[in-house]
Amino acid sequence: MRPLLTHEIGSMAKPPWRVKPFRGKPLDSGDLDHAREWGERLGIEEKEELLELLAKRDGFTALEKDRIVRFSSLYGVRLQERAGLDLVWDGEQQRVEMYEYPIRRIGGFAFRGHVRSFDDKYYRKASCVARPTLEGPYHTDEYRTIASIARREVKIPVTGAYTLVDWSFDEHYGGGVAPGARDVGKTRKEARRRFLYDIAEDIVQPNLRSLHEAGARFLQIDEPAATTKRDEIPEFIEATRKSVGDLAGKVFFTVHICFSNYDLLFPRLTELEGVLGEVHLEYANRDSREPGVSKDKRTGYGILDSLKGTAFVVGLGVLDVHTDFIEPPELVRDRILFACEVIGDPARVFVAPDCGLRTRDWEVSFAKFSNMVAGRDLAAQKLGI
Amino acid sequence: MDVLLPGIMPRSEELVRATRDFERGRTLRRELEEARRADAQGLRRLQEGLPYVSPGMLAWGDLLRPFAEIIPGCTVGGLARFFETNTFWRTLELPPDAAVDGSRLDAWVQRYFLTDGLFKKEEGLVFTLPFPLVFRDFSRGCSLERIAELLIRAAEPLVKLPNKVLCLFEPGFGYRDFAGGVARSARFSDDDRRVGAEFIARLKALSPTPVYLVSAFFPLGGDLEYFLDLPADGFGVDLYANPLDDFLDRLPDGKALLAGVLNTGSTLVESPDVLRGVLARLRDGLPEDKIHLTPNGPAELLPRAVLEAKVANLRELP
Repeated sequence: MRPLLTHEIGSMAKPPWRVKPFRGKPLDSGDLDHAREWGERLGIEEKEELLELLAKRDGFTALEKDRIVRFSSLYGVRLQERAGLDLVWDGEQQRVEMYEYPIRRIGGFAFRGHVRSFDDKYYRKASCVARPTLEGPYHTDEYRTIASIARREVKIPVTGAYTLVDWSFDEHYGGGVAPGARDVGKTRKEARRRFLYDIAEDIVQPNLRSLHEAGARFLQIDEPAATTKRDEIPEFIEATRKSVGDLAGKVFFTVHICFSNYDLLFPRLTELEGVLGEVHLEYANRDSREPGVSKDKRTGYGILDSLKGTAFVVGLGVLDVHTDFIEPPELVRDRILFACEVIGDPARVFVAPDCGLRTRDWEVSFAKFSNMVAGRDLAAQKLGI
Repeated sequence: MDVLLPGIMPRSEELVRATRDFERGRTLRRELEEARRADAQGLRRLQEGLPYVSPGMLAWGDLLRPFAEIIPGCTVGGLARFFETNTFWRTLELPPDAAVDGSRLDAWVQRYFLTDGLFKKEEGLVFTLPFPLVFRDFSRGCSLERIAELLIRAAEPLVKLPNKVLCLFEPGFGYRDFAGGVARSARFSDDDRRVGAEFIARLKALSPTPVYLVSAFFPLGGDLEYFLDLPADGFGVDLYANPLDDFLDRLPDGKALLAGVLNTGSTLVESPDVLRGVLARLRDGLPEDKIHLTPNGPAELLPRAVLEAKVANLRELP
């Protein structure tokens, strides 16, 4: 793999012509313009076919909606390719999002209602009501679609076992916990472990295996919840090991963690050397926007010191996904150069956004991606590679 | 024995939908307020007959947010994870000389505690405020002493209302600084402990309103002694993180126990048998009027329908 390889991390926004038909809302002229203009910018050969499909504007059949999703996937892949990324995928165009989509495809879960995430933002939360079962791998068809579209190497994100468990309730494993019992803490922890390891072995592992068998060489395990509970890092590590199983070494695995206290991961994370290839974290969100390669300028990259002595490739978040600020190539370059200096080997640094860009519109996402690649090229030039 | 529901209650699916519609410009503010009032009425029905009813705090963004409206110069900042949950609070940015503007308090109490007149000043209500330590965790710019002053000033009109109980919420007990998965140190300094104790003592000096200190989430461990030594009238404990025996043996005489028997981390509705079992143990160790059955943490971590089912089960206990 090339040093300073670039890739996306998770989601991108869905275009309005992808969203509205599923909400039963008619398309307007602006939506069709979006499809036309981005089709031209991205060199989509099948653009006219899409416009013909969208011309109906309303009342799309299930088959037509499937075709719209496939076009959305095509646009997502081409956007990343046109921006110059080395590893691409469609930015979650075929999924609802990273929790509800897999949970709806796993047996043994029931949605119980909305709970608050923050402010007035709520998410639909499910509960495990029976031992989880997998009726069939839920990302393999998605991979095949993307692989058939992509002109570059493909990477598929899969929501990790720890995050699926931590974002769910449990009525099955923890059913025997009695309030106030002498062993209440121990019972709860054991129930949690069984839940977690069953999800890892029975759900995530078969999905990863199926993707591998379908030809995927790059897989990303998304674990934004990894450090939520400070005393469960060993369980997160064991669940990751069980999820990967004997695929270690056969597939290049990335773990993605974001907006957390990364100190909690160390030193235990090194137990996953040989299992994971890349550890991708969010950094740019914590960093200054001033150019420079000194520590006082690169304030968001302190955790690199903990990764330096490991065998992992460092997945370097260089784009803040929560702002429309377009990072100049020179800022991206300096973030990369700083990381290379700390890590000591550009071959151990991959370049990516902090997280998925789903909250940014395509204009902003494309500009950010493009500058990320330009910044990578500047860094490579500076390093003589 | 009674049932007490401190803290922010979960919003119903209808109110969640109304909130979302309002955010997306599909409904008017008036319609959202109507949905909120209807939701609060539903909570009142759920608690009908209880000596102290929770107004639900349905307009609260989190347990600190409304304070921004009575502290001039205070702004609402970024998101911070609320302990070990997937819920996030906003950090309050306070000026160093932060003080409560007394002229805003009447309207503030009406809106945030009495739900714009839906609940009456004279009826039995449970109010909840943050303890100064958790307020400090989710704010910046002020000393703990000043935070305690802010909270005293805000609490004064509440505890002076008749027929109320005040719960002070503090999930920090038992929480430790962690690094590499290893607990390093106790969270509270001697000064923290002193300010916390003085805060409760000053609140109690204002009125006869009972003041309860409510913990959540963590085994209290080394903080247990300090926790039970504070001058509160009662203590809320998470019985899914702590054995009941720890409290039955050590609860000071005359103090109430808010027994967290409803698990807000699980949608499983506690069976009547299990609840009867724990209640029997409580009755063995405590006078009847010192037993309050409560959720073990913030009720809003549950979907509303689940909370309602849990509370209904609890209310059927003899």
